[in-house]
Amino acid sequence: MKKNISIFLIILVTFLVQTSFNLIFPSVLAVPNLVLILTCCNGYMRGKKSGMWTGLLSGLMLDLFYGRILGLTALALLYIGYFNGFLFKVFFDDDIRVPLVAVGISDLAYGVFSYLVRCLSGAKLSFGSGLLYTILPETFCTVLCTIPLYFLYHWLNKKITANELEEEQSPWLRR
Amino acid sequence: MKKKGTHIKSRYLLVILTIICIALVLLTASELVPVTPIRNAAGTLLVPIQTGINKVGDWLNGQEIGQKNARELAKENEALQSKVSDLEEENTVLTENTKELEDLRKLYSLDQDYNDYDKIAATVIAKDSGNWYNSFTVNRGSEDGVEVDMNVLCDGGLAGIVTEVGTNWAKVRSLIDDGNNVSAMLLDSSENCIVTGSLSLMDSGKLALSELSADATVSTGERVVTSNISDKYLPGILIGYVDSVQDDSNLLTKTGYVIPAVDFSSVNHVLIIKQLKETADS
Repeated sequence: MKKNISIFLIILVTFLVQTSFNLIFPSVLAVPNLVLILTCCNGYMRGKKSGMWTGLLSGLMLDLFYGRILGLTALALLYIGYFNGFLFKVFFDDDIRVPLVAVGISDLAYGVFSYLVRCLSGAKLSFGSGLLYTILPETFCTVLCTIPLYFLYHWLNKKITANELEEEQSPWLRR
Repeated sequence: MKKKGTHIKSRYLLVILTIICIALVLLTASELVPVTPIRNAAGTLLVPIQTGINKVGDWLNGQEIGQKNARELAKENEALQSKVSDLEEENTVLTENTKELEDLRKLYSLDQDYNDYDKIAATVIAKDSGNWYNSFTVNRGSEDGVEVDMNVLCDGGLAGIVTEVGTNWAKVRSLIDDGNNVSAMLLDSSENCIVTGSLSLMDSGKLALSELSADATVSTGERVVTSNISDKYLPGILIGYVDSVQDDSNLLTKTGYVIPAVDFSSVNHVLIIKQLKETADS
């Protein structure tokens, strides 16, 4: 229980920082997708289920708060969490290369997904300019942000798993 | 890892959650389930926290300015002082002109300048998370009298339009958003045109200008304001200044770029005009 609350708090704080990122740091190239980093990291460090729940929850919060179609971002992040969960098998303490590559690929996929959603909702935008002006800068910033965030999440995860061993596990979050 | 209780394979969990998500998408897209109350509740809960975070951001940016070295500030002060005296002089002239302007306005029946509208100040508390949209959330909502389609000003120029309202928050789509179209007019020549935001122009901070008649005489730096025929924007609000214009290949229209009056990278405090276009005339 304590573990789930901690994870939820981490998700909530990440979400809040995400929504006000532009206000705290007004002059950045692109807003990094912090929520996606958290989803990837949780999938990598804690397994498929944790990645899925993280993705679903933060996606739902983004959808709710930004008034887009409810469930779309959640769906995308859910799958990102799930696929990153496969990496749990190669999870090795503070090796940062795997999450860097995973976050990069995930964010590219997420970018393409967002582009498709935008096209379906009637925006006139060529894929080239979408890629050049939005997807690539975002991926670059996201990967850059993964470096400090991974160590932060990794440290938090260590704290959580230390408590976890003593506690009963929720059936939904078992790997 | 020890295993206790019911065990669900992650594959099945994925399927269940996917179905839930798709159901949510279908339900909200087809508007079978009203999501506005849920969204409103979520917004109401988060706004106080975000206001706090925003304060931290303001403080951080303040620190940054504090670190500017003193010599630079002294130089700036000097420049500003001379500007103040210039402005004071200009102000005297302008005060004299105001009376004349009022008379002329009456002649133009443009007696309702947007300065006369009832406005409400608001602070930006969140910006859109992604880079695909350009909208922001402000800390005023229906309890302050904000309604959908109200115009939002910043630095004396048009910043955007309210697209969604909650109890204590409102979402504003900014002028440079990809989906934004404003019917505009050139102030000097009264030529009508369309100003649109575009994702590819977002980085350069410009807006696209189109549908301008080929006969129109345009000079760089000319002011572009919202036109009288716009159905959502109040007339006469400054949008920006003409950057460049060129003839289209059909020789009937011109297209070009507009530099917005608002610096969209640093929109923090805005004014919402509490007057809707439809009610403005009556």
